[in-house]
Amino acid sequence: MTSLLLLIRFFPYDPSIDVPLTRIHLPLIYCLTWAFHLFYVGYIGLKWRDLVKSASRLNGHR
Amino acid sequence: MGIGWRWRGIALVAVMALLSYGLVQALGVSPPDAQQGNMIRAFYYHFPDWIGASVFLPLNLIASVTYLAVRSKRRSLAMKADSLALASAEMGVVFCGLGLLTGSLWGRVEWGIWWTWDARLTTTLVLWLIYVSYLMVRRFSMGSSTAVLCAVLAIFGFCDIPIVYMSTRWWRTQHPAPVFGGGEGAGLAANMQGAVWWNVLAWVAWGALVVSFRYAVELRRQQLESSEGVSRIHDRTYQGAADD
Repeated sequence: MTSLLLLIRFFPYDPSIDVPLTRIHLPLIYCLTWAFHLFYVGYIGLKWRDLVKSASRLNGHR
Repeated sequence: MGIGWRWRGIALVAVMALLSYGLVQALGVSPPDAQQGNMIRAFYYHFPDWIGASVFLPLNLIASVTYLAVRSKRRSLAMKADSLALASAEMGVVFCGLGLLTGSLWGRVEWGIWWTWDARLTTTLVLWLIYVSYLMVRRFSMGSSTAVLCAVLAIFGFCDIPIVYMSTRWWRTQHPAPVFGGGEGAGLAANMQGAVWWNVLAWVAWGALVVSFRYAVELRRQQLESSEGVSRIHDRTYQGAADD
């Protein structure tokens, strides 16, 4: 939780020009973008691992 | 597994450096907007999503058309085209989905609503759903005609892209007019341009790198599946000859 709050501090926020929702929504936009991209890379990693297993099984079969 | 790890490793370092620089530009260098305040920084991650979708979904179309054209004559090229079609469609769906998500988060702050059924948003949602259905057909359909069906679906899916692009020009929409090429009054201040274009470059480069990984994995999978099929035919023929 503390690290999350530190992350939010990383994003510029000025109460005199920003609405309160900006404090949450702006970090969410950045974090979700990274999270989805990294999740997709993880999915490719899993696909690659399955492929390596299939390849070794096929080589063993031969 | 010779899928060029060395050059992809170097490219990954370069792309991460670009993304870091883009992040610094977006959060540190660019000033707040006179109207939107710091929420303008959402645009620096929202706009590259649409550029990404505009690069990878047409790439899916090109790969799909290539697959349809060469599938019976050049098996190897067809396999490559089909693998590229899958990789680019997945990346396009990620970018398009993120564009909808980040747009919704921005809209809640600036418009006070999460979503509205205006022309731009609706046609974009339809576009995302078409390509999600494309990926679902690829994932769950069995049989030799799956790749052909998907290639045809990709051509129909692409027809929505020009409609999405033109929607803010053809209809009055809640969505803002295009920032670039939107006529008089459109455009960004010079000190915001860097944040936009560095992030566009960084995310498109990231997308290209990830697509190259996914393409290599999918191509190898198809090659393996093909050689497994040949191996089974060989085994059966050998067993049949032994029985005789």
